Amino acid sequence: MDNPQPNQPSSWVKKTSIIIGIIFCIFLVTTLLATADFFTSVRKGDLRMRGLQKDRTAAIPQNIEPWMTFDYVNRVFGLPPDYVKEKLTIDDPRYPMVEIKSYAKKHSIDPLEFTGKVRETVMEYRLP
Amino acid sequence: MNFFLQSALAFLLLYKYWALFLMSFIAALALPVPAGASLMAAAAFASQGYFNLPVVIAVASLGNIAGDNLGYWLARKYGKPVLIKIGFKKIIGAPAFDWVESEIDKRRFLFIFFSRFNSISTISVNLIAGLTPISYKKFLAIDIAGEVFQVCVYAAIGFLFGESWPAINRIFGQFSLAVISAVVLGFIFGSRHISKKINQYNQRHR
Repeated sequence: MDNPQPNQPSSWVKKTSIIIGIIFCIFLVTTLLATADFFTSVRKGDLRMRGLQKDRTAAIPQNIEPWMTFDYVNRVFGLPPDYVKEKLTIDDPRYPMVEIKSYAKKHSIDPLEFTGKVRETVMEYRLP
Repeated sequence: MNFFLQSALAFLLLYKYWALFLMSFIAALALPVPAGASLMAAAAFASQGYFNLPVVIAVASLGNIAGDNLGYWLARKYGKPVLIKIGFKKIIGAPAFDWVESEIDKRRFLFIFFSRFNSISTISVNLIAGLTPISYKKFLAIDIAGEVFQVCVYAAIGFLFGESWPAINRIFGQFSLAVISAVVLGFIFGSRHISKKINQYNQRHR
């Protein structure tokens, strides 16, 4: 008497199982990464409700980025309108409505290096 | 922060409320623009005194609503003829499509209101609403409510977290991917139930 062949899963069921497995892995990995990122950010203090602080406009010079405009930097850090312009001898007619990165590229300066100079200039203004 | 988002933020700082309106409008219409992140950033800039928060909320809401309405009307006027022309005639005429239309019409508030929180679902629901018999008045009313609510939520997060908004935006994006995966899994596991519902619908409407 022949033994009956065990039921083989059809190729459709196999493919569906693989797809479900992949999507479940994506779900698991993204949830774990998001949760880990959340708790790391809380521990580092990145998720503080700065908008609720008394001095909401006390921005941090280290957070100045190349995509920011000089106008934004002046307003947020409470600088006189031409302070950065004079300190860094900026002669662009678009000032202050020009990105730090755009100005640096136009004058063949490394954007990150120039952003560092802007940060230093802002920190000097804030020194007592 | 990726190059695309950095460019959007620079555009926002240079052209302010016009940039916010344009990005909200284009994102609601189907183009991949980081409107949600830009809105959060604009609200964060408002917490620093650079923007005015009520104006940010009004402008972003108007941009989103304008984009949604244009998407709805384009789908209403040209949707079916274009879909048939590009080879989707079988899908348009399929029983499953009729069932989707009837389900969206029955639960229009849920579909339209909550789809405003994700750009892919917003665009999809705008197109489907235009293709289905949902009246424009009903669509507009629910769209306005949904968009204003969504904009207020994003703006509140940006305003409250201030300079910390990039971290929140990043975590939001990661959780969104997890939610989308969960929804896809839900559809796959619920596909048998959905097929049953489609068959029942077809038998009632033969």
